[in-house]
Order: sequence, then C-alpha cells, then structure tokens
Amino acid sequence: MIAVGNREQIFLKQSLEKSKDLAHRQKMNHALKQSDDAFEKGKGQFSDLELARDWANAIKRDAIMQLDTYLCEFERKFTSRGGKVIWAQTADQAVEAVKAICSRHRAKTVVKSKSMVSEEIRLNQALKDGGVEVVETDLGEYIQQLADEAPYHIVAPSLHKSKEEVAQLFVDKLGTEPELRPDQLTQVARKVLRKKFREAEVGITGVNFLLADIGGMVLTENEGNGRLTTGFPKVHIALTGIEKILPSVHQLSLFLPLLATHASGQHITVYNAILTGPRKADEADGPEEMYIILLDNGRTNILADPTARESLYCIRCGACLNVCPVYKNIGGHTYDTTYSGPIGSVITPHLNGLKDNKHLSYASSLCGSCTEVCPVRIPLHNLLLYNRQQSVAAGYNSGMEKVMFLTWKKMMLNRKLMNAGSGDVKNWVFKVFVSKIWGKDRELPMFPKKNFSQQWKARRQQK
Amino acid sequence: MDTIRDKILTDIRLALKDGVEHTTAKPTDSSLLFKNREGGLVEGFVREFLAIDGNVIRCDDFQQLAEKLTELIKCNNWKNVVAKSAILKKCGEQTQLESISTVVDDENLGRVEVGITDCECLVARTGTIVMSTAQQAGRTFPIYIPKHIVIAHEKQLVYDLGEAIAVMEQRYHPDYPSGWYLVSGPSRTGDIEKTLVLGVHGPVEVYVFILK
Ligand code: SF4
Repeated sequence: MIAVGNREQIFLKQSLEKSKDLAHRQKMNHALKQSDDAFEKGKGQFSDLELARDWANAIKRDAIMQLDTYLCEFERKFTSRGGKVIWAQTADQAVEAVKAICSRHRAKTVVKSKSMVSEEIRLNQALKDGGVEVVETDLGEYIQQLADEAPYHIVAPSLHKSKEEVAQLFVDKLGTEPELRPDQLTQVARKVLRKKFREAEVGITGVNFLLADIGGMVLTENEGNGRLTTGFPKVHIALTGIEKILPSVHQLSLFLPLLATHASGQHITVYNAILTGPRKADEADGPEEMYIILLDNGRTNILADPTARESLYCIRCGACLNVCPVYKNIGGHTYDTTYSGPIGSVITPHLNGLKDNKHLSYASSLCGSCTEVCPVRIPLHNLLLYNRQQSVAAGYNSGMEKVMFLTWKKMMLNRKLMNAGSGDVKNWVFKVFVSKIWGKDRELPMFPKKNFSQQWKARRQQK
Repeated sequence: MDTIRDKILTDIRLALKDGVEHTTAKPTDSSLLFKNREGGLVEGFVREFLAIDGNVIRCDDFQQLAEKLTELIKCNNWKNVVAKSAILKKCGEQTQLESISTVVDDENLGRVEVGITDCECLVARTGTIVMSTAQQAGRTFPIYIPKHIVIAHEKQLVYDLGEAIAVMEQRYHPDYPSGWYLVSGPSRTGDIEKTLVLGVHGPVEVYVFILK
C-alpha cells in the first residue's frame, strides 16, 4: 500500500485493512493460541510465579538504577579477557562500527543470528550497500529475509505466515519442490545455512543478557544457529542496548526459566550460551576477536524519565504481544516500528519522537493483559496512558483525533460490538468517523451484510 | 574531548539524578521459586530430559557403557562416529570398546554422523547438559554434529541452574572459559506455523549416558 499521509493516518488505514483480513485473523488466532497453550504449560514449573516476577522486577530495578556502575564493571571484566567494547550513542555510530570491523577483515559474508537491535539500526541494508552478503540464520528470520519483510513479532519473526505460504516462498526463492512440509523446509534451510556458517568471516548476534560480575553475555535460542554463528567465523560482533544488563551470572537461574516460559512456554530454552570473550589460547576453536556494541540510541531519554524508566526492564520475551488484542487484530507490520505490540508502543515514542508516534499510545484497549503477563512487571498499560498524557500536554492531540481513535478502538477490539449492528450500521459508523482519514482516493471498506461469526456458522452448517 | 563512552556514561548519570529507588531486599535463592519434584537427581534428570525429546541410557560401569554404546552405534548403523571425551578414553582403556576415532579435521567435520563428548555437569530440574570451551570438544564440534552423545558420571548431577552456575564459578573463577553452554535437548523450532521440528541447526538427537 502506498504511504500517503502521516504515520498516524497510515496506521489507522492499515489497521482497518488488517482487521478485515479474515485469513490474517485466522493465522494470528492459530499462532497466538499455540503460544497461549504453551505458556500455560510452561508456567507449571514455578511454585510461585508471582514471587518470581517480583524478584525479577527487583533485580532489573537494581540493574537499571545503577546502570553506569554495572556497565563499567561489565566492560572492565570483559576487556580483561580480550573482548572489546564499543559504545554507540546513535544507530549510525553502531552501524559504522560494524562496517569498520567488516572491512578490516575483508568480510564478504556475514552470518547473523536473531537481533532486534540490528533491525533497530537497519544494519542489514547498510552492510548490503557496502557489498557484504548478510545471511539471517534463525529459521524465522531466514524466512522473513527471503520474503524481504521485517520481523512480524520480536520472538517469532514469521508468525503470520502459513506453512503453505512458506513452502511457496521456498519454491519462488530457492527453487525447491512445491508443497514441502515444515520439517522438509527446515532441512532445506539447514543445508543452505550450514555452508554459510563455515564461509562467513564475521558472525553477528544479539544479546539476551549482559552479565556485569563475570563480564559476559548470554545468547538464548532453540535452533543452534547462535552457537554456530559464534563458533565458526573468525570475528563475533554482538549488538545490545545498554539496558540488557544483569548484575550477576547467578541471576540467570531465575531469568533463563522466566524468559523461556514467557517467550515459548518452555522450562528452559534449548541453547543458552554464556560468552565471556574470544577463543583462549588453550581452547580448540572459536573467534579470534569478539566485540560487544553497547547502544544508547534514545535509551538514556527513557532512563531520564522516572516513570518511563521501568520500560527498560524489558527482557524482550514477546509475551505482551501474544496477549494483546490490538496486536492480534492489526498484526506486527502495521505498527511500522522495530518493536511492535505493547512494549513497542510504550518505548517507540521515547526512542523515535513523541510527535510522530503519539498514535501508538492510543493503539491499546487498556485491557491490561500486557501488564498482567509481563515477567518483569512493567506496568505497560499505565505507561501507555502516561504517554497519552505527555502527548496531550505537548499539545499534539486534537479532540477529533481522540474521537476517531475511540471509535477505531471499539471497532477493532470488541467482537461483540462488531457483531451487534448490521453491516449498514457499521458502514455508517465508518463513513462518519473514518472517511476523513481514509482519504478520498479510495473506496471505504464495506462490511458484508453478514458478520464474521454469522458467516462462519453458516459455512459450518453447510458442511 | 569527551569520548562517546564518556558521553553515554554522563547521560546515564544525569538521567539517574532523579527518582532513583534502591531495592532493599535482594533475592538470592531462586530455587525456592520452582516446584520441587519428588525423587532423586538421576530420576529427575531422566524425567525432564525425556520430556524435551532427549534420550538417557544408564550404565553400572565401564563394561556396560562399552556394551550399550556399541549396541547403539550398531543398531543405528552409524558409520562415522567421533569421540572427544576423556571419560570414554578411560573406558576404552579398560574395555573392549569398538574403535571410535578421536580426531577430525576441519575438512571432514561435515561427514561426522555422531559426536561423543563429556560435560561439566547435568542439571536435573531442567534436563540440562552443561558444557564449556575448557573441554576438548570446543565450540563448533558439539553443535555441528547431527547426533550428540554425552557421557557423564552420576556424581556430575546437580539439582538446578543455580547450582550449575556455582559449580562453574568454583571450577574456573576468575579464569572463565570463553564459552559456557547449557544444552537442553535436541535443536528445535516452531517458526513455521508453530509446528515443532527437531534438528534445525544443531543435533537432531541427543543421548546422555549416565554412569554409576
Ligand atoms: S514488556 Fe514485559 S512482556 Fe513485553 S516483551 Fe518486555 S518483558 Fe516481555
């Protein structure tokens, strides 16, 4: 869709389009239901999940309130074992640092394991422009790269694609046989990527936790691509926001199970690597150089606001996305932000400017599900309200916008309400409230005379 | 002239001038937060490891280990088996262990079907194998091989992650290995429509032999 108008208008248009897209709804329902079921099972490992969340909150609070101290401790210990720390205030500085390392090593191929920070700084494009082949190796990221799309979810990048769509994508891009099953598709990716791990001069990863007391980092994953990315290439570069710090390696005994349960419903993720530096003289193999890039890019703005500060506790588990009715309805791309869902709506206005992103704090039903699930107890829906107050105080919101958003919200989020009126009533509501932003250049979406649940029932009866 | 580092640290310190709350109670023993299951460490590990699609084989002594290992290799018709394991070496010295090669060069790494390694310890609560780059298997071997066999002694079992981390700290502080690896079952993904697939980039099968 061609982007006309400002970010808010585009957001509203795309939300409405997505919410009418029944195939999208079915795929999202399926995927998020699976996440939900897994989470319910994974939770069973805790004897007291509420207390675990309290502790996690207290530990992250301590980490963030003494961020400078812990970062310096991390740096001192990490560099003492030969690792190098690069500080970056902006996305550009981080990108330049990566480019400089790649060119020093004459890198032709870079393998990457999942990193949201690399999305944030738009690293892939910059490397490609410099003539470096960038290969995503997490299966979901690999799929998204083949499709030339941004991740749809911070933990499950290709959540919105059916297996048929992935199979077709492999036919189109890799010339595979049609209609391969998920296990066959996985084998195709495994074969292609095995070569890449061994060819690449540089491996780039994200970071799940930085550890102050031992001067290390943690990489959490299920597939093994992170291990290979940090095993074969001569150089390992890890990208992280400054907020990812934990004071002590011992706290992983809480944080690894907590992250696994909230991200994927597991007791623990299959692979957790604690990396403390480049290969040591007496070790069999491993990278000769290891860099950790510590990125600010607006995070100190969040830190300076005592209310918003708590959003820096985030461990990027994705649970708040999974439970969010807005995310489910409009999908990951509609946000047009690196971090989607509730946490994205909370931090993006602080990272990228309130004016262009104020609408995100209205993109919420304030149902509170996100706050209820967050493993580190970030009061997400309160922070969304807080952002609203801030944008009103800054004079960014007209009364009309608020009315429109109210209507949008009601339409989006309340199936009962959506089902209540006849199609004509809904079309009327849309015309009145939405035509202004929808634009004259196109038809308004028309609601069918039968609503979704009626159609569904009718179809089932036919069978 | 300020470096970028100094600028960021200054920004952090300025940002933290207001409203800093310090936590009084710092939690310590996280094992309290998890359900305590019945039974011993070995039983606990077996239960959890099977639940995450791993395999466990228990042996009374080196003799049994040699027999069961040989049988496993024969049954599966595995041809290219490479061991980087101190325990197995010892076992081979005392028993009739079928000859298993112990070296593999870079070029032939891709042909290895099965790799055998030691571990630092095993974690019962989560079914986790702890390995590190201080051991001879190193970084790439245990993750590149399609099938992974781990040989461990019963006395290497600990209850939870906290204890495993303490073991590593006692063993290596302050000269830590560059990589510590927690491995809980075979490689897996749910990236295509949440369908579980085993063996994405890492081993598709993981066996743990536990010696009495
Ligand atoms: S805000 Fe909380 S629930 Fe959302 S991704 Fe971060 S840690 Fe997870």
